[in-house]
Amino acid sequence: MMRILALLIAVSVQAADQPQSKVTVLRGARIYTVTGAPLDGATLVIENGRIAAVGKDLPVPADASVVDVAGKVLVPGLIDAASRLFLPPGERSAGSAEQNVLDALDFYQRDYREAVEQGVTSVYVGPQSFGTVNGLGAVLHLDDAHTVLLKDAALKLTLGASGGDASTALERYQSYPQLKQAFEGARQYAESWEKYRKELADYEQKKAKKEEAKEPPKPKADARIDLLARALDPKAALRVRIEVHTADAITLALRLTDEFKLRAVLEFVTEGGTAAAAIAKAKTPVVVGPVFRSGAYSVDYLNHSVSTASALVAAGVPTAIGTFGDERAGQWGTGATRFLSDAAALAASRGLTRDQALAAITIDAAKILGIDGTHGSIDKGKVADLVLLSGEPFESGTVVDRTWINGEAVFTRRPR
Amino acid sequence: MTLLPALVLLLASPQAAPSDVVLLKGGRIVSMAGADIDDGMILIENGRIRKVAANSDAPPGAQVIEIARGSWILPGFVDAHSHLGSAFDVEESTESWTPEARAVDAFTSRHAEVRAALGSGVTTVALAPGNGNLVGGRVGIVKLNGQRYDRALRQVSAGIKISLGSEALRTDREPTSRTGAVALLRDRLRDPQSDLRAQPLFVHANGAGEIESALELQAAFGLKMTLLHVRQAGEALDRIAASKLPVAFGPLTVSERRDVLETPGRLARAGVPLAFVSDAPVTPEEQLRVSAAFAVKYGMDREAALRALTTVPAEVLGLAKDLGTIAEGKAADLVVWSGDPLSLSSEVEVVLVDGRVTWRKAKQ
Repeated sequence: MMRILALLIAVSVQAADQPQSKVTVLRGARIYTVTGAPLDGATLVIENGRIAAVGKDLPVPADASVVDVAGKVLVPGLIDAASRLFLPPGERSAGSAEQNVLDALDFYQRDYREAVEQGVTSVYVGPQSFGTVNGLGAVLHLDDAHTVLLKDAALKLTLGASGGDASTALERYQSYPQLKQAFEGARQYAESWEKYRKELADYEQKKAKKEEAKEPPKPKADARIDLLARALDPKAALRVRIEVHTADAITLALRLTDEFKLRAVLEFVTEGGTAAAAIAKAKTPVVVGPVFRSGAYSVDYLNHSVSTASALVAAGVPTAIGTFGDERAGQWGTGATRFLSDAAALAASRGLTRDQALAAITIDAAKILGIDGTHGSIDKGKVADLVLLSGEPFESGTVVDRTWINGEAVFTRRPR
Repeated sequence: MTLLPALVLLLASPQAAPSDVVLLKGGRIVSMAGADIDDGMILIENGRIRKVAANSDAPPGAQVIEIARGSWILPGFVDAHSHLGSAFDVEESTESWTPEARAVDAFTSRHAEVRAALGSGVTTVALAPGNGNLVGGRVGIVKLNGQRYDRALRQVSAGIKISLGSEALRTDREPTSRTGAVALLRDRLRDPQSDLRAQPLFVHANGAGEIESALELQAAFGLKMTLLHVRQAGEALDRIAASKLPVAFGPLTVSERRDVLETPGRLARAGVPLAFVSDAPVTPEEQLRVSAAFAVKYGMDREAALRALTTVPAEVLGLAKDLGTIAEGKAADLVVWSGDPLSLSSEVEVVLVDGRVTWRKAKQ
């Protein structure tokens, strides 16, 4: 009998959690759309995993399953623009691997579930090594299928990171000419391939007409240079993520970006507060972090400051806050992503407004990653990645009540 | 000759406030010594709290500090275990038994970390030797009053640091194992004259086994002991609770396993007096309140979390008569917050140490 009862309860709980109807209406919450003013007592309609409508006094479709969320707060699913979820533990290596981070991810790790419980729905994960050129990162959805939202999201470069307790001065000045040389080589590489393609077309045309022609020599293919060439090609427009810490490395990164017209995003930007005006002038976006300084004793963080995010935003730099894991004890911490909203909250204690802090982990992160067409805000047509909070964001005592990904409730808090 | 006391007073407080009477007017007072007072006032005389009450008129001659509506006033936070301002230069590694080494001797009172600590609401810090020695030396107390060393130094010894951690085990000298470490301690503790039996002990014990060893020693010799860090306390929860010993927990970081994040809440519910520690510069002093905020997020009662930053560390360090609450007669170590300090988005606005404004938020 008990067993039947338990089963019945389980079924009814499931029924409440997973409405049969394809249309779900969340009614009565305060909604932070993050692209407009907050809406009080608003209605949100989810249809086929997308936000079908959001606003006040909307009609409720007849077949909709209605969830009363009055008194609660809805925010977009949070986006960690620099996560270490799914990466295997280990120290950061100095090797410059031409890797795709998707080949390195361990989806047996369950840490992402804790991140989902804290409202995180998408993450950017990139290569962790700090050679000059380090391979490709990707944007993942935190559904159980670990859907790739954006592959080849960015090519990771490093300009003068130490990763240890040695001074980075020499590396900074070495890695700039190295990167410059690499991009110059890539430019020539792209040109030689362009020339080859033209000659080949010409050759094949002549061959078809049975004219006399000599087959052009094929240039040597090189995967690493090819990646760099894609970053130079305005059509491919592959983003580069440049790890920088010191202000002078930031200057060099901006120079490199300008010289090669790169679509660059700076990450870490530890001394970004000092270089904020220059970054703003270059209109280069940043992913700043970690906000929590815990244990990392690398010289890279020597001038770490909680107020860096606020200084960058104040200067007008498009800014996302990323968690970047935790280098404590030389281990990659995969647990940092679950504290994304706390990192934004702490940044808000140093001059960032709460709205700016929320934007830095939603819409601004989406823009910087290149997924803002579908994610990052509560707007009609976007993917229904949503977080229901018990109260105002960033307040002590506010908890995540429910998280939706693609309109599916993937986490529901059990009452304590 | 009548001039002499005045001169002495001047020398003792070279940057004395314009008035010896200071009034904090307005704000929500979270005294930690009773109910909170909304729109209260705190009267300070000669660096001590004279009166805590509902807001009313200022006495004539008082220097009035107006507190914005919505701001909270709490006692300055007390860190029960830190290596602040000492660049980790707190480990005499020539031998494993250095009870006379004093952590305060490595302290630089005007270190940049000290300013940062004030800006995160911390006003008193216990400076401890590192974990590399079985008996590391003296845990001392400094006030973060922004003054030179001799005026910041409050107490050279509030107890002795002992490390049962693996860091204290080396191959080139004893002890090389935990069994050896415990045997050495037992041997010395058998001497009734041993200083270790008279002094409060701060025992570094992270793993459940280390915690058990500390509890065994405590029970055998009736030691006055605070357990330090105790990351795996969850596995020895019943014993810790039964021992009635306080714990100085943490710091909690973003990497912590979930069960560790839940441990402060479990300890507090079991009645264990718990203080958070920063272990600065392993984490900055701000990690005190970050740890508290994380613990609350993972189930700790918010009152217990606030006590873990104020009253409990004051008790653990033997400073409860002077610090930890906003009450008449106590030192006026007060921090004005923009709101609830357990909300990480709240910021420090003003810090008073011994009644003097020692830190103020930079104008934006």
